[in-house]
Amino acid sequence: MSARPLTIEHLSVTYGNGFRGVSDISFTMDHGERLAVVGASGSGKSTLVRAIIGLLPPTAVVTGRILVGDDDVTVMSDRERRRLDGRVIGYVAQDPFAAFDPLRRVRHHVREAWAAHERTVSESDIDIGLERMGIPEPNQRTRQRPHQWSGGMLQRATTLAATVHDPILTLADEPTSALDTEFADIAVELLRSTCSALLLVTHDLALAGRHTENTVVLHEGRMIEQAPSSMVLARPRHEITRALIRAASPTPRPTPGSTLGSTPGSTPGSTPGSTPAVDASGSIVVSADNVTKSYAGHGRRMHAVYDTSLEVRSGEVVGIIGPSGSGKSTLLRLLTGIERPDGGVVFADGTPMWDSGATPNLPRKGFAMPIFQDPVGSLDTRWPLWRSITEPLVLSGTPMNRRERRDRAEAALASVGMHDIGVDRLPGSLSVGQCQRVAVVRGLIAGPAILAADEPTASLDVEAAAVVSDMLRGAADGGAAVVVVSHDEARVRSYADRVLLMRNGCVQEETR
Amino acid sequence: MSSTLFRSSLVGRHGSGAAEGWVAADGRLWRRVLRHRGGRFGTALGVVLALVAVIGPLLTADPNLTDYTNKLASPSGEHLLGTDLAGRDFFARTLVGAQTSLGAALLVMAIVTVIGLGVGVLAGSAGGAIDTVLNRLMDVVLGIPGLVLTLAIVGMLGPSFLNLVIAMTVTGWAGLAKLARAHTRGASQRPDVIAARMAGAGPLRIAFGHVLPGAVSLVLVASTLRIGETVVAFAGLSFLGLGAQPPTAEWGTMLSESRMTLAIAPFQIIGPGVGLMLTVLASTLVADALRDVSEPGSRQ
Amino acid sequence: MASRVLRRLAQALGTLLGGAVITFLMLAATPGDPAERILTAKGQEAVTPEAIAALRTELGLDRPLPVRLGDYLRDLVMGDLGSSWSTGRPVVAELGERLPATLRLTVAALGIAVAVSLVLGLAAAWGAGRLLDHVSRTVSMVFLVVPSFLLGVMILDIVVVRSGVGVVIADGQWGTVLLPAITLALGAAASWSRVLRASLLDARAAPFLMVSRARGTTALHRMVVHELPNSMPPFITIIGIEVAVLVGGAPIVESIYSWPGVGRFTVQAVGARDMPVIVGFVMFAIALFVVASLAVDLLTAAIDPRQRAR
Repeated sequence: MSARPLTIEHLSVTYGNGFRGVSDISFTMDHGERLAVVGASGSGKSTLVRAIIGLLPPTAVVTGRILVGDDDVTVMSDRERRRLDGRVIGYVAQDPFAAFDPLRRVRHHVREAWAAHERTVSESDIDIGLERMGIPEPNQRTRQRPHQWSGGMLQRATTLAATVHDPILTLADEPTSALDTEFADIAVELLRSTCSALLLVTHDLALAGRHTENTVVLHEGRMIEQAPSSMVLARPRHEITRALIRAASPTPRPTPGSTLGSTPGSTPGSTPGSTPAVDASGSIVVSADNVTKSYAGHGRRMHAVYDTSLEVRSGEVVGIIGPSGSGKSTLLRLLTGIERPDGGVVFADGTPMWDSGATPNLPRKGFAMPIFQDPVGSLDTRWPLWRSITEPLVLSGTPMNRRERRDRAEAALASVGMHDIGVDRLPGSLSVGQCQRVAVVRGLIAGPAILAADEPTASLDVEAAAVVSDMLRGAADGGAAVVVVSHDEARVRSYADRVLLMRNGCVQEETR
Repeated sequence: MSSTLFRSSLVGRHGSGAAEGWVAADGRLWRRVLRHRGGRFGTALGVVLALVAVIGPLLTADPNLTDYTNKLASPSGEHLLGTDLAGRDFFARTLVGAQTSLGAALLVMAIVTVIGLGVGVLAGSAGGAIDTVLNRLMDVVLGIPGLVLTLAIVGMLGPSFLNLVIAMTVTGWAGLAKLARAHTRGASQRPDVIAARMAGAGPLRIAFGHVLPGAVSLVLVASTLRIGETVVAFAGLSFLGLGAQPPTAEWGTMLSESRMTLAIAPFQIIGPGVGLMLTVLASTLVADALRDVSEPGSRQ
Repeated sequence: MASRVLRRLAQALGTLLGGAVITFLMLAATPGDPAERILTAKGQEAVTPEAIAALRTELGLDRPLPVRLGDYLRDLVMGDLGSSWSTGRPVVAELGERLPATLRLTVAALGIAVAVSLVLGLAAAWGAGRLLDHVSRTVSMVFLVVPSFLLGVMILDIVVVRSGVGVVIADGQWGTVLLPAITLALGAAASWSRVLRASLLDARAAPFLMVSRARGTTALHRMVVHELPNSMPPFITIIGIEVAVLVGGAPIVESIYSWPGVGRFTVQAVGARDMPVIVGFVMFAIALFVVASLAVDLLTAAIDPRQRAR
């Protein structure tokens, strides 16, 4: 009986700065098994992969055993490791573009898989392997550079390179996070068909459920669940797992008038105990009438937004989805008065926003407030949190001294569950998710009529994204008009009242 | 769509590049520098040098007292570093030289900081024709190698301590102005500035609250990093006779004077040589520490 | 690619033009009468007011400023840099005679600096964190901390005086260029080696290096095939910028060694307030800097295929 491809016994990894990457993890993998390692960012997934493949920094301390076949890799020298890496253990990186040396041709990357172990390979063998991966005309195409290929194609090429020596164990580190969702399944299918034992690291529990037999869930370095994948999804034992399931696949928000025939318990995304607004009866806060905005570029004028109309009411969340380049962000800037339309009129509370002047006429200061994709950049890096958070209040006419501002900021943070964060801290010391939550607090504190969010969750992990989505929903429930531009369609649908599709500068109302 | 490969860290002696990381709160930045081992040592060394320059000359013998009976005496208890060709005490002259060399550099850096900040912020905020003109001016000044332009201006005005200071000032402001300009220009696109505008902040409030503090911090740090090379440049040109003039005690002129009699009195280079090397060492250590602690990835 | 070259050429011309205007202004603003100085320098027995006035008219010194600027630029393009105020001879001749010596010095220094910085930088990155790294970085620091003129004085003392050689022959030829070139190069080499080390370590931290490691490649393979090529663009860029420093350091080093180049001549000219010579040197330095920047830019584009696509 040949040894298992992977056996992990009481593995702990402590980094040089004292941080514990993983604590006391144990599990095994059989030949040909597909195992998913799931967890939020920072849960230890990457540390685990690096420990197996031997890519931890020299200052990291490893205890426990990692057996690949019969060999304990934790006690191996670099030379012994080299024998395993690439031949017995395969590795597929997270971002296909980042996996390639930008100065070398694609073919070089593939050939390196053989060259690393001083093996020669015929050109035709390389071509055959690439064709089997679904890359057409491999001989010509591989003479190109990585930046000329698409992400999906690069993923195929690097998967080939990872598996040429038929490793008994292949580690795939978030292979789908950089790909559009359409390609994610294809990419994992490819891995399944080419690898023997496959360890799939992902934050997407649903993906794990579709493609793997077993799942291990990590949280803060510890293993909190280990079960067949279908069981983890259907009957999660741990609260964290349930949260991950919810965050990964948000269910659409019921439309007004539809029967609330959802599963018992709160629908994700809505405040507990509330019912979705029966109809959007709030007053129109901002409306755009046949607006057009174009930019000069490459010698031509390009229409970012073309003859588009839309209105946003208080108390509702309007989602705008669409492919990149469709003009979503420009429309948002027109609605909030950051930019002036070239044609058409934008109304705020019924009055036109622009006259002959260079600045817009908004009903009051702080009428519209923004949420940006880059949470850290949206807060002044030199300002302590209390200053950033309360600035809109001061600007809209409430004089406050320093102590009042600090107290107010503390209260605001506490009201969203961030009471453990000191108001004297700087944005740089917060996580990206925390910064975005602060940005939302800052955006709402002076009671804006409209909150405009441009890709508010694009830089966040699933947990933080779910929290911020809840906050935006809460803002609308509190009376503000909320407009969200996002490419994450599923998430937007889970908390928006209406979702509009934007293509080529035009908005099409979605009917469901 | 490809992720950026890696940032190239321009670690030149000019201290350019990687600058925007210094915009964040400078009080905390200096604290991080002091936690850095090299930064601690460099800062301490710099402080010691400054103290020596200020207090030292008050405690030693007269650096200008000539004693031709005691020319080129070797170091001894009475003359710690020996005497020079005119019998003057080398130790005293070294300390006064510190005052001259370091003081000149500080003077230059102070003026250059003010000019660079002012011009840069003006160009960045005014935009339009003013910005174009000032930017062209910066480009032209920067297009001429520093020492060369300094030579030319000294040639115009004549060699003297003051003229060298003027020359180095004219040469040195452009790089700092570029930094300030870039920071100011980019401000209107920054998300936090847009948010402030939407919340109702007027141009003055944005300028003083968001833009200027960062610009000041940026320029101050950049100019601090260049103190070392400024001291060396000043000493180098004085060495050639184009700056401080005898009998002024200055490290460059002292090294120049020592050339003729180096064979019989090699100890002459100890004082100014060590002084210059320590200055550059302190400056380099602090610059390295600043770069290490303000790496984009280093969040606390 | 072609448009990029054109754009850079236009930029270069702009810098040259700007430099020329500045140098003209400096010439015009210098106190003293050029005509009088030239005549005195030529050793005329009777430097009469009439002779001065005649020369002034000949040189066009009476014409309005913008016209003089035009004359200056025209002369510049045709290769006429005026006459030295200390020798009376054409500046082009004075500088031209000494230019080869300076070029030999600068080229030799460049070569030494590149070689030394490659050795130090590669050594430091190869042994990153270990003894080799610390040794290399200490050596770099030592070179960095010693100003070139101090180094020159020390070298002269040791080599000439101590060893009894007596005198260093500095005839401006390749045979004797070694010591001055080393003096000029060491500080730059130290600085460049630090850049190289940082770039190499940056490259090493990139994801594709991690993937290469996971394939089982050797560290040497990764260094030679991936890390070094990816470090070349920033390395070459900093060299291009620092050529200016080398040119600026030439006057000092040439003066120390009595190297018969344009740098030493310019230093003497500064002492004599001989502006045409100084200005000629400035134009030479600008031109050299512009050529170096252009070369670096094009070289970087050639190395990095992503830039070529644009």
